[in-house]
Order: sequence, then C-alpha cells, then structure tokens
Amino acid sequence: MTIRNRMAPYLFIAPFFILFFLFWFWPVLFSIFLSNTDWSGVGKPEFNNLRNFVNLINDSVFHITVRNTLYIAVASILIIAPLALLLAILLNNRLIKFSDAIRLAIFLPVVMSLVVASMIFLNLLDYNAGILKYWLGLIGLKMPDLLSSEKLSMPTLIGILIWRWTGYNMLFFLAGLQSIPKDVLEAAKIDGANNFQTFIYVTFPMLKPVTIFVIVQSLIGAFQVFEEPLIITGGGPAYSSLTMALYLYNRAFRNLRFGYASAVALIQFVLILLLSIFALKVTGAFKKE
Amino acid sequence: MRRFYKICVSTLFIFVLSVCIVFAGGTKERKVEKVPEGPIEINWWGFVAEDGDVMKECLDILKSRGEIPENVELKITAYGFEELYDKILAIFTAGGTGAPDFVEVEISQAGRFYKQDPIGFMDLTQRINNSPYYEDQIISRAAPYSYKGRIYGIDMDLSLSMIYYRKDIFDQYNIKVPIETWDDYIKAGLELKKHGIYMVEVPNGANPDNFNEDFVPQLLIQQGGGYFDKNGNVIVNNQIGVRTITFINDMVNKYGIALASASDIFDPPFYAPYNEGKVATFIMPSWMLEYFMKPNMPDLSGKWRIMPLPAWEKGGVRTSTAGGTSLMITRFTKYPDIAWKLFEFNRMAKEGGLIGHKKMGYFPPIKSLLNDPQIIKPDEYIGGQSIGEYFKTYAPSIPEYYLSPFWWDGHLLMASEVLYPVITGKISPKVGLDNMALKLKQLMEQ
Repeated sequence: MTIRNRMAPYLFIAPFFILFFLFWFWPVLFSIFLSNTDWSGVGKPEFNNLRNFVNLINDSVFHITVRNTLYIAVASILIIAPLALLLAILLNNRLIKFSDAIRLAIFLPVVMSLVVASMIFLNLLDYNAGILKYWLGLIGLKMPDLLSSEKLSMPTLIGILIWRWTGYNMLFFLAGLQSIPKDVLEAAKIDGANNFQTFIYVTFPMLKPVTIFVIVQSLIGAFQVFEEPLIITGGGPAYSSLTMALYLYNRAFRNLRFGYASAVALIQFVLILLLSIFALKVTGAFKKE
Repeated sequence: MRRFYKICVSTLFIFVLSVCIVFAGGTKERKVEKVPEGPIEINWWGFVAEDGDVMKECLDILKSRGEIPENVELKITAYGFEELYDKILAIFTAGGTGAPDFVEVEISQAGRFYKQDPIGFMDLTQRINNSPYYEDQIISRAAPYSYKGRIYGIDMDLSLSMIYYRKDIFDQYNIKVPIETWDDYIKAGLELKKHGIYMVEVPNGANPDNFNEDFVPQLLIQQGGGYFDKNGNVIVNNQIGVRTITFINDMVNKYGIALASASDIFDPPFYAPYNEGKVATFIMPSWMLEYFMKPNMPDLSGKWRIMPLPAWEKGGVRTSTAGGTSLMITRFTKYPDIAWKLFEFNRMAKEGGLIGHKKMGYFPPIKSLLNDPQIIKPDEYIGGQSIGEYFKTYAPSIPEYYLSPFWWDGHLLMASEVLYPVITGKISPKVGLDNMALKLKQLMEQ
C-alpha cells in the first residue's frame, strides 16, 4: 500500500477532528483555564487561585439558580416526559381521527422561534393589559399575577417549557412505539393481556432505550434553559426564575466577568454529568441484558 | 506507521498552536490610513435607525461644504437594544474585528464598556476641549460618558425630568397645578383615587431585565443622590435613597395612588392603563414625549401638559435628569478624522443639533439653541406648551449625574434587591438598599 493510500482515510476524517478541536475541545479547555482567572474580555487573564469557586460557594444568587434549574429538570422528567409518552400512545392509535394534524399542532411550538414565542407570552400574560386577563375577565375570573409573583413565575415558566418541548419528546416516543414489532403485541393479546397489562409488561420495557434517551436529554435541556427566562421574566422576580444558563450569561456579558462565568459553566457541566450518570444508573442503562 | 502518526499529530499541534497565537494577539487599533479614492463606508450602529438618518443629513451638509470627501458614505444599521450592546462588547472582546465607526450608546449601557481596559471607544477629550464649539456646550451632559477624566461622548439630549399630566383628568377632578411638593402630589393622587384613577405607573422590579430603570434614579438625582458619587463610591443606601424608596412604596401600598407594573416603557402593555384613562401622570424626562408618548398614545394628543417636578421641600430643586444617549467613535475606526468631523458637527454644532431636534425631537445640550425659536416652538401634543421654554428655565439647575462601570449592575440590583421585595412587603427600604449596596460593593471588589 502506498503512503498516499494509507493517508487517504486520515485526510478524510481530519477536517472533522480539526473543527472539533477548534470549536469544542479548545474552547472547553480555555473555559476551564478561564474559570481560575479574572478576565473582562480584554487584556490578559489573571490567575486568582480558585477564588471564583470560593465566591460561588458563598454566592446566594448562584444557589438559587441551581435550585431553580433542578426544579426545571425534575419537572422535565416528571411532567414533560410522561405527558409526551401519553400523547404518543394516544396518537399512535389508528382510531384517532386527524392524528397527523394533531401531531403537527403539538410539534409546531418546537419549530417556532423562541424569541417570538417568548414575546407573545410576555404580552399574553401581562397582568395589567395581557390578552389572558381579557379572556379570563369574559368568564368572570380574576387574572393572577403570573410574571410578578415569586411563587408563580417558575410554574409559569415550566408551563411554557411544557408547551414548547412536549411535542419534541413525543416524536421520540412515537418512533419508539412504531418500532415495536406487532407480533409481540399480538402474542401478548393472545396470552390474555389487556391494554394496560400489555403496556406495562411489553410496550414500556421495549421503550426503555427511548425513555433513557428522553430523560437524559431532558436533563441536559433543563440546564440550558435561557431564552424564556431572559425575555419573559428576566430571571425575576427576586431571582425566582433565574436559571444557571441565564446567570452564566449575565456574569459573562453584563458584568464582564468571564472567569466567574466560566466557573459557573464548569459546575454546570459537572452537575449535568453527575445527574446524567445517576439517571442512566436508575433506569438500568448500564445493566447487561 | 508510527512515524506517520507522529507527523500527523505534530502537524495538527503546530497548526492549532499557530491559530491560538494569531487569535491571542490581543486588541489592536487599526492604523490610520490615507483616504482612498474609492468609496469610503462609515458604519453607524444604533438602536434607533432614525438617529442614523440625522447623521446622514449631517454628512450630506459637510460633503456639500467640502469639509468631508465626496466619496464618504454612511451605512446605517439598527439593532435591538440589548442585541446591539452585546454585539459591540463581543466585538471589542474579539479584538475589534468588524467594529463599526460609530455606536449609539444609551446611558445605561455606557458603564459596561468602562469595565474593559482599554475602553473600546476613542478618547475624545482633547478634540472636544479644543473644538471651536466647546464654549457653546452644556458640558455636564458629557459627564455620564466620561470615565477617569476622559470623555468618550456627549449626550444628544438635555433629558430634563418633568411631570406630564392629563389636563382633562385634572380639570375634571379639580386638581390644581403646578404641584409644588411631593406631599402635594400625594394629596392630588388621593383625590384621583376616589374616582378610580391612579396618579402614576411605577416599576415593581419583577423583571430586572425589563423595567423602567430611569424612574428611581431621577428621583435620587433630584435630591443630589444616585447610585454612585463622583468618585465611584456606592451611595444608594444613604438617607436620600431611603426617603426615595419609602416614597415610592408609600405611593403603591400606603396611599394606593400608584400602579405597580412589571412592564417597561418599551412595552405596549405599559401604555394600556394610560390609554384607558386609568393613570394621570408620567414622571419622566423630556425624551419620553417624542420617543414614547406620541407613538404609543396618539389619540391622547392635546390632552397632556407638562410641569416641573414637585420639590422634596418647599423651594427645593424642581428638575432632575435620567436617561440619554450619546454617540461614540470606536477606536477601531479606519478614519478617525472623518469620524470626528461628523461627530463634532452632529453633537456640538448648533446646526447639527437643530437637525436632530427637527427630525427626532430631542433637545441638544447647546447653549445657543436654548433661545432658538425652532427649539422653543409650541407642541400640539402638550396643548401648545413648549418643552424648549421649560429647558430655558430649568436647564441651569440640572443636577450632576455620575455613572460607573457598575451602573447597569445597579439597575438589576435595584429591581431584584429593592423594588420588588419592598413593594411586596418583604423587607423595609433600608434593608433592601443595604442589600443592594452590599452586593454592588461585592461586584466591584471581584
């Protein structure tokens, strides 16, 4: 084999690795480096001997963002995923008319611009002049102050996330349901299993790979929630809807503290990694079948 | 094979290292070049495209006089408010590649750029001081755009605070004007409350990213206070701060004469209560009229009037200031002399100031314009009154206004640490302001 022939495969894969190194590996390394420095974006970063992490431990606002983000993660797993599965089961039924149109309607929020959707919700939910206030007034109900209440701002945000992401996760479950061999389901019926028993003992176990995927990527997505709190609530009131991603952005681009923001990013990464491993363990992903 | 691997890895390493060295070169200013013969594009970035049109008209005049070469063209690009400054900061951080020549810098954002060293804008101190127009400037309007003794811009507007009030509502319920003190303002508000009308809409701080951040500072500045003093020390939690926040909280909770709102002046829902006749006054600067009131409340033309701010004590200061926008030249411009000529004419020359006033309605801080009939002409929207006449009276008493690199952080903390918890009854004004001051100082020390 000539040198040229031997080099050819490596040259074909080289562009990917070069780009991967430049746009993922190097920035991650640089971010880890920055997390130990003070840097405003101009001039040289100055080492600060882990002071960023010490400050984070004492930063009460950061603690709130971790709590808020975990709140969203739990809601994603306990509300969005089951709801997506339920919708997938319903829409997988041939008896449902216009199921294609319903699937499209449920999926549309996923493809809508996040900024546009957030602006619409901002005007819809305004306490003084929002459209929701008008609709509720027509049926004699009082509009709650969803965006200015510490207790209601996070549930409101989660409601918007449910609207946005249920359709996306529903697609994965639909694909999983449609990949289950029909003869397995027929065999269960022949053995006398009703619909519920078929779901519990046949369908749901066979959806395990899809379920694990949905749970893990929902976890990752929860830690990346940024646009909705930025536009709709600004992370308020009183930090009640401030997520880790928005806090990281504020520290980097509002406060020009790239070192501190990188420390937040590093902790975010560690949390995602630990929670993902935990989720995989709990769901039995590491068990050999 | 092993030798081949070594060659590949070594080549990749050298390539990556070279790229890093190139991008780690730090910020460089572009060298001044000779004016080429082909078309020269001067880039203007702002958040109000019409302000760019004002600049274009200034350019055309200077070209017609031969003061700027004919081949200079102005390219105007308008961005969303937040997007513009995030973009500029990212460009400065990346070394200035792609930086425009001019940036329209709103006062609340200017401080963000002072955090970088060197600052990404051109130091105009010497040019401004040596300008033939210098003596005609109300130079205090350069103070917010100065840092550590260097001037980077001059405001386009005097931005004097005043009360805009609904004359028809005041007449209907027999409210006498002018209102002399804030205590009289509260009494007037209590009278309107009997008829289901609020006196004013105030920010409740629920959304720290989207609230009327000028409302509180103008009340502080009127009393000689603010977030920072001229040396950059945090003073927001002094007696002035406590009195101001107590006053706002009392208007909402004790007297019930203020509507606490999560909306900003940029949001249509902010104007809904005004359009419905449920709120009777604004406490805002002069730019509120052209930029916000006229476009958002066109049907209320002729129903508004203006009057000076009530004083905190009888005989006290009757005006304040808040907000404003400057033009700044980036230090990455290829044509600093051309950019300066444009800036000087647009910001400092009487003629350039008049163009801005006619097109955009702002009132340039230029002394010789204060008596100009085109500035002091009546405005139909405010029933024939003239904001220009108001300026003649009150411009000399405009309080000083000290910015800081942490000004925007102060706004965010005012919303989250003070306004929201105080208005919702969780903490007292003093505790909220102390929390805000503590967090500001922590940010400044980091």
